[in-house]
Amino acid sequence: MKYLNLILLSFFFISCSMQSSLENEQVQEDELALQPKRSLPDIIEEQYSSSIGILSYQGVLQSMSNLTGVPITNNRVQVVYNDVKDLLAGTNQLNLYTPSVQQGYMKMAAEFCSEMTKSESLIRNIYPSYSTNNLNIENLVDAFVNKFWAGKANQDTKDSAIEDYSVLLEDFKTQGVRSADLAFSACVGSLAALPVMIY
Amino acid sequence: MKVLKFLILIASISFAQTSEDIAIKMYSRLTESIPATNSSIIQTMKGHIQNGDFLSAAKEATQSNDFYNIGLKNFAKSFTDVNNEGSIRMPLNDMSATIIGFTRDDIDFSTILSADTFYRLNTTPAFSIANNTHYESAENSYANLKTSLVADTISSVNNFAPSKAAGLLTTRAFAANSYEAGTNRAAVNNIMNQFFCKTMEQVQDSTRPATRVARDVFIVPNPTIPHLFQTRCSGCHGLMDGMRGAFAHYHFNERTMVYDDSKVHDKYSINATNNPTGYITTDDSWINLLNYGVTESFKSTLLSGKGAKSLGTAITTSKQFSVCMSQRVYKKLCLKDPSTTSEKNYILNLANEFKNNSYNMKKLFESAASSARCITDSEGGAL
Ligand code: HEC
Repeated sequence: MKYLNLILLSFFFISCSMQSSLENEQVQEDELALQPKRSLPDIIEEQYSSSIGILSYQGVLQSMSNLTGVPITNNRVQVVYNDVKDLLAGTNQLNLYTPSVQQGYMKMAAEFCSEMTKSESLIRNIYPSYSTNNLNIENLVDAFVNKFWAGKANQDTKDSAIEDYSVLLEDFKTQGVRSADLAFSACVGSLAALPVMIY
Repeated sequence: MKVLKFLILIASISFAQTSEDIAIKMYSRLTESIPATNSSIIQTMKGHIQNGDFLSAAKEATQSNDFYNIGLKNFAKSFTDVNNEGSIRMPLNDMSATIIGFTRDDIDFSTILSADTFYRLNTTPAFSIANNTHYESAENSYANLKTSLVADTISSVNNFAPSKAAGLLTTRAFAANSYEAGTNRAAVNNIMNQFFCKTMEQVQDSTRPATRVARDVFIVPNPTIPHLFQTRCSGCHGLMDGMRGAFAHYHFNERTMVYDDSKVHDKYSINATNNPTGYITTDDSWINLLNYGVTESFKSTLLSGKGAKSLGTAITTSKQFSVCMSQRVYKKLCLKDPSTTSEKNYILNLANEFKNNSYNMKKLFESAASSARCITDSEGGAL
């Protein structure tokens, strides 16, 4: 269940955050449609004249630790980090935002979120009203997105992500997914997203 | 300085990005990491930014562990990227640790190529001149570079006179990249790349005197192209061979840097028949031809000397050194090379300020982070 969520949500979030940031820069939708083969880095590079970068491997480790509160030396995090370190970016150049970087990034986010959601107090650092039954999905997602994306995306972008994402998690909730897994999903969805990876 | 204040003023007037957004961006660019969600540093920075005091905000970020352990470390590592690949995957070593230490301890960066100082950690395994294990294991165990770096003397660990120590030029890492194979010209090439931000291709100029070009550089490299030596080879070798004399006694023997006072290293006299009238190195004297031709703007003042220490001073007191350091910091914070005229003028201002601030690298970071428009300009969207 966890990994299905993870993959689903991460892709969803990456594409959604990308879409929104492009809209901010007023790129015409039809212009994008005409050039479907352009990669994400190409598009962003044009928009920001490459004045943004991608977190390199140690930056990813430390940032995810800063955001989730799980220490970088956590054993399970270390196992995954050592496994994917070489996949993650070795420079800050945005054109290194490759599928392998995304893959490594997602694995890191999954492990950090998995460790984080083992601890209710860590979840409450993000969402103080966290409860194990009848969780308020919209508030939960709101807390994760606003805290993890702080300073990285404008409020419209965050709001639309929160809205879309909440719909999805409400579905999970209806299917009986337990609170910790809902928190995990909210965590991984907002952590394995473009606004966190770039700086 | 005036220009910087002006930029700060403009940035504080137009306010689309919130002060917290700017604080987070400033922190992220300086530290190459995203701050904790409840970071007290960000709250303090935000307060300063609300008061229009960007500099105090930047000073908060440069006190963070993340600055030392990631942002500054990666900046320092980029000086050891000899092939200019842009990667920071290489391990921490004595050269990058020394750059971090000089920055942390506010040591005059114009001595970074001449001081008898290097940095190691207070961790085990202990420092060794014969391998890099000390630094690698400290890095792998996430030693906090803000607290665990300690200054030590190059001359004592290498067992040579303090006058033979030349800061980064006599670190094991620089030696391994510069004095091992070849003819010690790689040292000059590395200096040009790392401390002047130029390639030899960019600085070659055949109007410089060829008096120091050594005997191994063919005087007739290609019989079908007359004057090739004058028009091409001496363009680089005039400058390079003039400086490499400084390293005449240094070598790297696979594991360890070796200083042999007794004689000029054999590599200075190889292939003497290529140019029998070429220069013969008899001591560690060097000449600095930077004031000729395309490098005239480097405004070098120390034009000759003996040994690596004085050459190091000649490099760091050239204007181009300050420009290069400012350019590197700018690239680190703005994630692009300066290209427009205003960006280039901005770099020149930063460089002047760096020099006037006793070449304080931490202040250079703080000044740039608090005035570069890529960070402070609230018009540029969330990123
Ligand atoms: C763009 C600058 C440049 C030009 C032009 C240039 N060289 Fe060099 N040369 C270098 C550098 C840098 C090194 C040191 C390479 C190293 O050791 O890493 C070098 C090294 C050498 C060496 C020593 C090789 C060894 O054994 O290590 C010889 C000999 C030499 N060059 C000859 C020439 C000749 C002949 C020409 C003209 C045809 C020439 N070079 C033109 C930059 C240049």
